[in-house]
Amino acid sequence: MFAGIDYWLDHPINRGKLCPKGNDVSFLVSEKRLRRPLKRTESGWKEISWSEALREVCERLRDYAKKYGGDVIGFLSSAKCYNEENYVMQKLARLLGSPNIDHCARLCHAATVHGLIRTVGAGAISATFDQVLDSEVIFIVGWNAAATHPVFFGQYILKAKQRGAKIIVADPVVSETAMKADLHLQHRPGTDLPLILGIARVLVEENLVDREFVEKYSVGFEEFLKSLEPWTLERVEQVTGVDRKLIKQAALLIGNAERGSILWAMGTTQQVNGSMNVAALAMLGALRGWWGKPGCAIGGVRGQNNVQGACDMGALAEFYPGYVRADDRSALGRIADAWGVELDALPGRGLTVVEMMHAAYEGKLKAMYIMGENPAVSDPNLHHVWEALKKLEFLVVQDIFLTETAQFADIVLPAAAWAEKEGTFTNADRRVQWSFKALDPPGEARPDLWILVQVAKGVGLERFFPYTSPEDVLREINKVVPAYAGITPERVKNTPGGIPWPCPSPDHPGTKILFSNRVFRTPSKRFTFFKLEWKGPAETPDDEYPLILTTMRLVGSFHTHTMTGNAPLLAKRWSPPGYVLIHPDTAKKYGVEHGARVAIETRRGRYEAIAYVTDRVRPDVIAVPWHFGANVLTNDALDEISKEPEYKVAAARIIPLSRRW
Amino acid sequence: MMAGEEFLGPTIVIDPRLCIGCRACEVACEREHGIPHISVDFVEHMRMFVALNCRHCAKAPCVTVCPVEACRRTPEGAVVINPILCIGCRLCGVVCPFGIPVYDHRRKIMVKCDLCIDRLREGKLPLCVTTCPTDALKYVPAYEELVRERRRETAEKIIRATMEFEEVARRIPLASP
Repeated sequence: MFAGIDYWLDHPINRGKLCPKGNDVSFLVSEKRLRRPLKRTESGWKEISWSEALREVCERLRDYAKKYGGDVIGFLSSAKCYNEENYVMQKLARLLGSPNIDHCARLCHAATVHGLIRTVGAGAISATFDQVLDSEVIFIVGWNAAATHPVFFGQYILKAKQRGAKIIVADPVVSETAMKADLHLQHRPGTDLPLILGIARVLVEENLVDREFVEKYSVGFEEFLKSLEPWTLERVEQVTGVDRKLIKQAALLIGNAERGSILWAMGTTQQVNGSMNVAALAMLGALRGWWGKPGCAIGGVRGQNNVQGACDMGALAEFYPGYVRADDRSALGRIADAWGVELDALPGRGLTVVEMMHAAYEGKLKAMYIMGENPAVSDPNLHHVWEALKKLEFLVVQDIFLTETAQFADIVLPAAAWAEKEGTFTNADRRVQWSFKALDPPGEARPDLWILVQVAKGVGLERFFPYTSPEDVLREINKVVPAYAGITPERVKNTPGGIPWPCPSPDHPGTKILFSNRVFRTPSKRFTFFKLEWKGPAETPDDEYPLILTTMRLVGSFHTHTMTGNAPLLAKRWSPPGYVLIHPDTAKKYGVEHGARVAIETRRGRYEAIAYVTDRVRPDVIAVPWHFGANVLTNDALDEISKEPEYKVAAARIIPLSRRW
Repeated sequence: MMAGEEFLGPTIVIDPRLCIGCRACEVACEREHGIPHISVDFVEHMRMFVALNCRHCAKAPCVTVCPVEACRRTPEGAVVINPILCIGCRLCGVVCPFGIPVYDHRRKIMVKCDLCIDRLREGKLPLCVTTCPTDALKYVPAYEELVRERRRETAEKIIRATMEFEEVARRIPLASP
């Protein structure tokens, strides 16, 4: 029975604080929860038994793998699911012969993983949240922390500000975070790299570079200096639209701080320059010698409860568990041994989220198994995604609600939500925490782990999946992922606040600060600078589509609004229709009134919203929350390196529809 | 508090400098009371948020005006409306300078913040204070404590500003912008 919510007042991370989303989790007991497996029939959904559902799923998957090879099947794992479930899903995909395993990290922080792996060799935040408290300067890029991480913002960033830290925010919108900043750089969407390089150039020119760090612990600095050549303050001002005095001020604040934090999120990763933006921010930290130093945290702040963990577990097309490269056969040997298979049985690099949709559209991907993800709302260029999902011959969706994606499915499997099962989550600062079961799942809904193990058995892989509990899986993870070696089930269950990886042995306390010995995980063991080049956004405004569209988030809506939309206290405050932020000058130009209904159009689609006329956006920019379907507009152009799509920049136009909504 | 000093009850202090407009207080309050007794306002042109709830005034007009004595002050100092006595005349709302009491259409009575009096009696803080991610809402058991804390904060600020000036002067050459 659902009794209510209480606050864990002495929790070492959230200190008992909950944002609005945490204050209404009644979606758990929503009448709309899935209770039995469903099968699509000509007359609509039909409830079927678990044995029938599993038989059909397993037969179809096995047949596809046998007839065409595993690579015609795509798997989407879930950043909402436990580490154990993500681990098992990627193992299932790969042992079924499919290299195509990915999840929504591709859409949020793939650029972070790639940008950081190239510079420091590890795709995670450099230090735990508490280190931010001791920063003198906090540079926030493309991250509306106040809306997406209110507790982190309130308990760490604003606390640091109260202790005297200066906060610099780079965001095209005056976000709730920017409202609290000491300095706001309101740049044009997609011009993050010039902005960062402009700041870096001032550091170099003003002699504010930590020479010792650069000389002793880095390589490639001379190459990096070449990237600064084009970016004089004049040119940066021209390209970014930010007053050069503000850029210089930001650089001096950063350059004069002994300890600082650089934190970013989707505003900077969801661009075709995403991984370069991240690399530039990492390099900015290196110029100041902030890597490995107490009081400094550098990293992309993960949004979903377990997106760090799902990456760590190898639910990514190019990485096996522990970031072993899928195309590095010599490194894969260890995984093959641990799983008890021949090395040849392990597939290499597969398709990423957006690539899978393209392959489905082209008929190359015939079947998909989607666990706890909702690409029919969350992927860019939705019209294309819907066509792709329709073209699939067989689609299994495993979720807690009948999502927009489930509407395309042949079989829907009802899953237990987080509170109805157990396992570990790895949060944005690498802490692995055990989550205990509080409720029974509704009807016949089952934990994702149970379902995945049944499917593995049904496709004939039983001997590789001898698990009866999440503890069994975690013990295997302890052996396979070195950073998790010491995070045993017994230990993590008894550690409130969790253990930050790397934790190489059961007696290791976990690691709050990475690289504190200034030894990096790159091939040279040094921080790696290289030359960065800006290529500009994939789409720029023109006569037909004269505005730049960017997307944003609301504090009370989580992603595709599947959970929060079914929590009444949240849904009544944050729900469709969404709004679009328009500058007063732009509104006047196009005859749009505050509160009026408007259509936004891009080359890919049309979306209706209510005009919110405000000077919190630049005149050349319109901003729209994406939770309610605005991804029909967004661009699926990819960052070449990370394959992350450019949600944050699209050429758009706006058409008034009525005077008032 | 000094012995014999007049006791001015507890209150929830709102610091707009820290409010991020997340409305966690509203959601938590509505979960507890069915109707939210706190709301967050956004003042667009100032780019600031502020949460509004009952001030539990010393000379509470709502207590004075209530014709049926449904609105009264508890021994803890909270101004509360007794739902059994309230006749829904809305006079408390009319006289409240902050627009706090709201009408409960279902029960046909006026409702307002009761400082989570049941939680206070269990030794817990009001729910909005407990959940507030930024500590923009603070529970102050007595006004005198607020005064002391504000003065401490101000003292710290003056000291920090003085030291910061010296620090900046030391680190940044005066020729810079």
